[in-house]
Amino acid sequence: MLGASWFATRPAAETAAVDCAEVVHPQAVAELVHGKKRIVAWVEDLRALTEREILACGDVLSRIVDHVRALVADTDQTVQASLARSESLTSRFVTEMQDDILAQEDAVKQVLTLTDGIESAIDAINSLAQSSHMLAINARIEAARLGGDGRGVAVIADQMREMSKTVRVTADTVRASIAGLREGLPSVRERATSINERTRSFIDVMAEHVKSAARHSQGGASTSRLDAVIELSNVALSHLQFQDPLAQKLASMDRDLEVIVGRVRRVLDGDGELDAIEDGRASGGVEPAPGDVMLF
Amino acid sequence: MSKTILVVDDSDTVRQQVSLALKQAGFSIAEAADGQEGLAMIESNRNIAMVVCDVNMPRMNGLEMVESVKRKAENKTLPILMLTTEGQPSLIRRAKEAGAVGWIVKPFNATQLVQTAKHLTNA
Repeated sequence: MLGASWFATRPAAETAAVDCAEVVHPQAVAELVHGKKRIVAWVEDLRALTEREILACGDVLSRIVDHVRALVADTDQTVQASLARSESLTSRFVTEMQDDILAQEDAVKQVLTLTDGIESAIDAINSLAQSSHMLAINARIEAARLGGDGRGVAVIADQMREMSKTVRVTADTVRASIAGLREGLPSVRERATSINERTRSFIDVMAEHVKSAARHSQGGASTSRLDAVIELSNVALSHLQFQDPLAQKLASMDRDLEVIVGRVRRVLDGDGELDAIEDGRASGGVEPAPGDVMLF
Repeated sequence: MSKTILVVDDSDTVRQQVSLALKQAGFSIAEAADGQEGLAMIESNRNIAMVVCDVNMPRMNGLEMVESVKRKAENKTLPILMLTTEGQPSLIRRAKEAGAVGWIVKPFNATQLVQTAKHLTNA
């Protein structure tokens, strides 16, 4: 924290004000801007990942349902009742799935909204940088008059105390926003788990209905439909793998948020220049695309 | 007798997915939820023909597990295929140096996984 004691250790008000204006604030702003960009990019990645996989899964499920409907035509009455139940199950599933997806979108939006706190912190620090620039000018003027009654320097000291309060509030805002973000992440994961489990259970039940229908129906057409449903079920399940990369992305976000808090705190504490921000990826070599098999 | 593949992953969903695909292709499956458990299973079950292993796992990660497994002479020929969301070249290099035979980035394609498993186990 950049408090009154930080200023007190400086030999003169002029030096401190110049330091604030030219070193601490621009770097704090840069840290925050970079941090916010990363958070927004992560959340966008998460949204795209879940949306893409859930939509793809939904598409495959609708093809399964088409096969089930086609099977109704060549099955006996007992099986028709079973398939009717599966159709009603499908309608309920689709409604619940839509609710889940909306809730997931809400969770992601809430996480994104919390970055507004960081935005306001950026504004506060920017305005602080302007104030400290004015202070630096005043300090230079007063320094030129030193030896007088010293009242001008006292005014600058008061203004600096005010600045240190603002910095403290700003740093608290950043910490609160990031703490809120971290608290919001588990809900994104819980929603994804719920979507995943619900879909798995739906696929299991549908597969049972279709197997039963194929056993009771006549001809090779039903068997080939059964094969198609099993194949499509596998494809739908493979889309549900999004939960694993999602969990890992969330864990990585959580780690990086901690790093951002640390970096901003160090800048606001006046620890000087930090190393260039790394994006956590090793350079050199080409990353394989998802699904690629790379044998050594 | 069908060949046994050990699937090491801390995600239940991925373990089930991999197991389902490999079982349908005629393999037997053993499962472990982290590197330490995987290591213990490799030690206790000499019939394991291949290992499919995640990287990020609690207790012992996949790369540490491969390094431990490959330190023993009797495991030199055991094929270990990494299946992970990671794609960083530095991690892939480390896996290769440790003795893994390949790397797949999730989400995987079941058909390709089965083909690779058949190739690596000569099934």
